Amino acid sequence: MENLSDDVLRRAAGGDLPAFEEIYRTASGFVYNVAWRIVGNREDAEEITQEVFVTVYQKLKGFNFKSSFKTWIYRVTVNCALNCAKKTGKLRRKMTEYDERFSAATVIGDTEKRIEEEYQNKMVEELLSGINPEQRACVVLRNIEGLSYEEIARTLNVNINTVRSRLKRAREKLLEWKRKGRP
Amino acid sequence: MMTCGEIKDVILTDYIDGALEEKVQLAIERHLDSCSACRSFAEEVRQTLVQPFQSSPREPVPAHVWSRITEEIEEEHCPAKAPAIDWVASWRQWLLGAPGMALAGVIVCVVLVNAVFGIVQNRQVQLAKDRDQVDYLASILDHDQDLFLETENGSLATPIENYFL
Repeated sequence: MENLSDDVLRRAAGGDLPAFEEIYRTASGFVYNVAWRIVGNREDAEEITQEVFVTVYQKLKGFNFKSSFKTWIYRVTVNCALNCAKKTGKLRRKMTEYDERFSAATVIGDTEKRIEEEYQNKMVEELLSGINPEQRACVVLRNIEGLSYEEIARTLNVNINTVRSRLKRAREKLLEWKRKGRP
Repeated sequence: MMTCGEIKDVILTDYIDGALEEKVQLAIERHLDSCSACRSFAEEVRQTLVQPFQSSPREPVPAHVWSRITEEIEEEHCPAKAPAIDWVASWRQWLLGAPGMALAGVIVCVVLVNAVFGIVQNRQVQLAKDRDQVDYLASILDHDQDLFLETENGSLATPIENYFL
C-alpha cells in the first residue's frame, strides 16, 4: 500500500474513478482478508469491504495528506469489522456454515492443495473464534498481516502496551484452549 | 536477572513477534539454552500460535465486490430518476394484492356483524312492543273489572243499565 502515490490519492479524492480503482486494487486484499478473519465469514467480509471503500471514496476529499493513508484505511477496516463482529456475534454460527462447506469440498474430491488450504483456514478460524473481537483484531494484524506493535496501536488508536497486553491474553487463552484439546 | 515466569511473558509477546531489542533478545536466547522448560514453552508457542497463521492462505476478493462498490457510488452521485407512477395500475394491483383482499375481508366481516346485530336489535324492539301491548290490554282489563264491581244494591249492572232495568 506504500506504493500508492499522493497523485493517485488526490485524483481519487477529486472523483477520478480509475484512480480510485487503483486504490481498490492495491488495498482490497488487505481489507477483505482482515475483515474475513475478524468476522469469521466471507459474506460479511464482502459487505465490510464494500462499506470501507464507499467510505474511503466519500471521505477522501477531507483526507489530510500529512497522515498515513495506510493507517487510515487499516483503521476504517478494523472499525467496520469490529462493529460487525460485536453487533452480530455471528462467528460461531458461521463456523457451522464453514464446516459444511469444508465437508462438501472434501466429498467432491477437490485437489489435495485445496483441501490442505481449507484445513489451514479451518484451524485459523477455530483459533480466532476462541478470543474476543479486540484480541482477534490484534492477532490478525500481527500474525497474519505482519503489522508491528506501533502500527497496530495507531490502527486501533490505543496505547502500544494495550496491544501487547491484548496479544498476551489472547495467546494465553489459545494455549490453554489447545492444551485442553481444542481446537 | 529475569525469572522463568517473566521470560515466558516475554516469549508470548515481543520474543515470538521479533519486537525485542537485540540485547534483550540475546539474553532470552541464553536463558533458553540453559532452561529446558522455557525452551519447550517457546517451541509450543511457535507451533501453536505462529505457524498456523503463517501458513493460512489469503483469500482473493470476489470480483462482484468492485461492481457493487461502483454501483453504490454511482447511485449516490446520480440517483436514478423516479419513474412516473401509473395510479390506475398500482390501484388495481393493490386491490388484487394482499392489502385489497384484506380490506375485502374486513368489509365482509363488518357487513355480517351489522346484519346479525340488526336482527337482534329488531327482535328486541318487537319484544318491547309486544310487552307494551300486553301491559295496555292488562290495564284495560283491570279497568273493565272495576266497571263490573258489585254495587251497593247487589246488582252487577252499571248505574245506566240499572236505570233501564
